[in-house]
Amino acid sequence: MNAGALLNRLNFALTLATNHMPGAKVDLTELLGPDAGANPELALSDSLNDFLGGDVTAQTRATLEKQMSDPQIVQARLDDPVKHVNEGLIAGLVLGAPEFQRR
Amino acid sequence: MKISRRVFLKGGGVAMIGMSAMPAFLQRAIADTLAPNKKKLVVLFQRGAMDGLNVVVPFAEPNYYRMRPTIAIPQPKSGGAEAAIDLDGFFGLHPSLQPFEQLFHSGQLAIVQAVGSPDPSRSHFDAQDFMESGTPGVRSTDDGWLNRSLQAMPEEKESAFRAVAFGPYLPLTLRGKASAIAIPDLKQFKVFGNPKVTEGGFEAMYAQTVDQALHGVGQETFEAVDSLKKLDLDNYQPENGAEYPKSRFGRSLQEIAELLKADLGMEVAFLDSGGWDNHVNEGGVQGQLANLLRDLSQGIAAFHQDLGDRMEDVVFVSMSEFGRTAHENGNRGTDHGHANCMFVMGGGVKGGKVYTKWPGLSDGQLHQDRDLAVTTDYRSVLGEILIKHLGTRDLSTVFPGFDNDPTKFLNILKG
Repeated sequence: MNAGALLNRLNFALTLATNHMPGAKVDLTELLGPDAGANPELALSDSLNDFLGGDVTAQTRATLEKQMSDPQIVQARLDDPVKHVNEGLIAGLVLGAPEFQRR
Repeated sequence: MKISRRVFLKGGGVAMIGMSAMPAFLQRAIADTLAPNKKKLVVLFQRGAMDGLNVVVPFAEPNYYRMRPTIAIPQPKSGGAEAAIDLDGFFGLHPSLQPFEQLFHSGQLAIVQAVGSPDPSRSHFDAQDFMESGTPGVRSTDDGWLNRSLQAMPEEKESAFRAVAFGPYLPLTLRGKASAIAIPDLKQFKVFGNPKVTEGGFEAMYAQTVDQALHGVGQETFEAVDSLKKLDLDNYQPENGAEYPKSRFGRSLQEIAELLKADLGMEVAFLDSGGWDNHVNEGGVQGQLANLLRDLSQGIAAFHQDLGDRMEDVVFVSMSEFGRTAHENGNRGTDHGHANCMFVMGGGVKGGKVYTKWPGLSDGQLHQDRDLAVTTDYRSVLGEILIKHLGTRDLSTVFPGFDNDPTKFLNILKG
């Protein structure tokens, strides 16, 4: 695999998981469960289990966990206490992880 | 700690010794090691089999007009923009290649006619694979001649952009053990989404992975993405008044020029163009082929103009999998043939000449009684470029099984 191919894979993972792939629809609520939409840690944990069977290194898990507090992931608003977790972004990151490329 | 010869030399291990006191072979070795090869190669593959006989027209060959009653390009003496552009009294350019006229006569552009692969296949897929692998007739080769040439010149710390294909996929020409990347669009060569989350997240994951292959390709990818961020791609202005055609081909050439000027370590660039398979209504002075040639010549001339003096370090070479039948067919087109022509342009090129051992178009001179015969193997042209321009020392792995004898080169390049 070369740099261009890896970049294609990463972008494919993000595009598919965030439902920007024309003609494809991913129902992450169905995959990750209804509670994941308000809990980024749960969304990550479920994504790792669903897509990688939980087979992920501690370093990758730690890197992903750090991202879970990012406003782009949490999508919290000051006037809305309910989090609207960007599950697509989380799933895209997991699908682009080195562990998924090896599968 | 293991220190390689190159590291030792680069690290100044010989600095205490005066260069003048050194044996000549050692001086050469140091010079070879320290001086980065600034020479670049741009390779164009014209997919679909261009009709070389209507591109570089043998207007002094009477059989040409007999064989092509409706699509032949008129002789230059008929004058104007509706006739071939005389090159040497025998060959002329299709009038849509007018931008090549000045390049040819100024010695920047050379043409090779009756050149191609010796394999007789008329299958586009087989012939492209054979030409790109550099092993005509051998189906089992899974890497390309250009990649093998890079393998023959390994670098200590090579740029992620050392070998770039401008398109969505890595072509067979560049496939192999040496690192090469495919870029469909320079502006899209980035990780989608918010960079802090997506690019930052992926970069951190690939930086710490224990999988050495993924670690390496990850590092290469994010370095390349970072390098491109520093270029102001949206505001690129071609120099010297160059105007690229607004086609995919034109855009690719402009992007190659951008990367070359950015000095990101690109040594070889590959691009391709399609649409050359004109079985029906190929056209003559006007038509499908003429339109493709206009795009081709305007793009290449713009590239040459844009690079200006930098062109001294660049060689551009084109090829197509095979030529087309000498006779036109019943649909005012041409079918799959054999020999074709190649364009070679740039610094060090001894242009202004059509290099050929012209086989003729008479009965008995045609390949399988229907096509222009191949009298120059395309590997001979590429081999000369690799040795004289890129500095490849050994062609035996690049074109295995081919007689790579430099004394048999056409001497298209100086040196």
